[in-house]
Amino acid sequence: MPHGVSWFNFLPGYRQFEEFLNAYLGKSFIGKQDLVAQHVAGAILVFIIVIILALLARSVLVRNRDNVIGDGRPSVANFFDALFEMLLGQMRSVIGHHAEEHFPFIASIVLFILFSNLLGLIPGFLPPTNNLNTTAACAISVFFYYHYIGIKKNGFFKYINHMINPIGEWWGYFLCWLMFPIELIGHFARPLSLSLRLMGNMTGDHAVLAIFLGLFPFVLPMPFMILGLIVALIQAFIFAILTCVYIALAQAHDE
Amino acid sequence: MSSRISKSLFLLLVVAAVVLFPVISFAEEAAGGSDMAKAEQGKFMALAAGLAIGVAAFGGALGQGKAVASGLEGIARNPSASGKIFTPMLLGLAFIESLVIYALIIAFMIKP
Repeated sequence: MPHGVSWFNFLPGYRQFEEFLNAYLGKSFIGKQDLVAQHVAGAILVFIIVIILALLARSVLVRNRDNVIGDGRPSVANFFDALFEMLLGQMRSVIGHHAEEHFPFIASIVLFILFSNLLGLIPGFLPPTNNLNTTAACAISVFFYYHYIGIKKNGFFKYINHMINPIGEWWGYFLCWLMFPIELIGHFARPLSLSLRLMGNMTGDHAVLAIFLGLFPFVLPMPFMILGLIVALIQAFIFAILTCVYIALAQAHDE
Repeated sequence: MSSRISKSLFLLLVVAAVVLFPVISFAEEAAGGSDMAKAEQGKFMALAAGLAIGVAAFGGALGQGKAVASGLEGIARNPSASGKIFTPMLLGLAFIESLVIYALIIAFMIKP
């Protein structure tokens, strides 16, 4: 399968979709490169997969609504149960109390990133997180979300005040000319590092996989497939944990 | 007999020429279009890309090895604390690895 061709090319109407994207949306916002329709189509495919899985899990839960212990069969609902149990446990250990109110946001971002990373393991698909625009979308929404949470929990002036004077003593204000730019740079480096880390990991992983698939496409890529699986899981997890850390740091000022 | 062999050989040569001609002509075009300075630049760019990821991977591997070593030592001393040690260790590994990933992105960006 040559570069730039994926299973999407066999879809009817994909060519028109690609032309539509290139004609009406132009260059991408970040990087000013040509839009790659594969990533957009991959993201849409991930949305469809997640929505179908969620509907399946919901149907299972509705079927077992009156049972106390469930029907004992493995199902999609069990998968989501285990995943969210682990995620919520990690969130509780990082954020502390009030972890549940951030759960919908973090869980939806993690589901999207996890399934996009896993999509890249299927030969013939690119992971949508391969492109900086996809990961930057997630990271920028995290950026705005944790600032929103910080301002909501502390009030605007207290939040800014903590940026100016992180020490909290009266003499800390003498250092504000030093502290405020550093804090500002730190805050803007967060979405940058989040998006670049995810994109770089997935790109590097995919490149390694592509090189070894090109060398000998039979048994040789197996260890790198396993490595790719581990990287996909770990990167989604890291994204979630870092989001939790940022939220915890933003709202922890009131204690 | 001999003429048949030479005929088939000739046919083979023609097919090979037709197949290979675009490759050869494109290669000549690429080699002819670039002057000496560009080749020199490309050489150093390839060297820079390799060095960037090489040095970054060296430092990152040392740092990650140190982090994992002390994390595992802590877990070995107190296995019940493995859950509490594992998450910060993973976070630290991610932070160290992100620097290596930046170098990887730069290595990808440098195209000779």
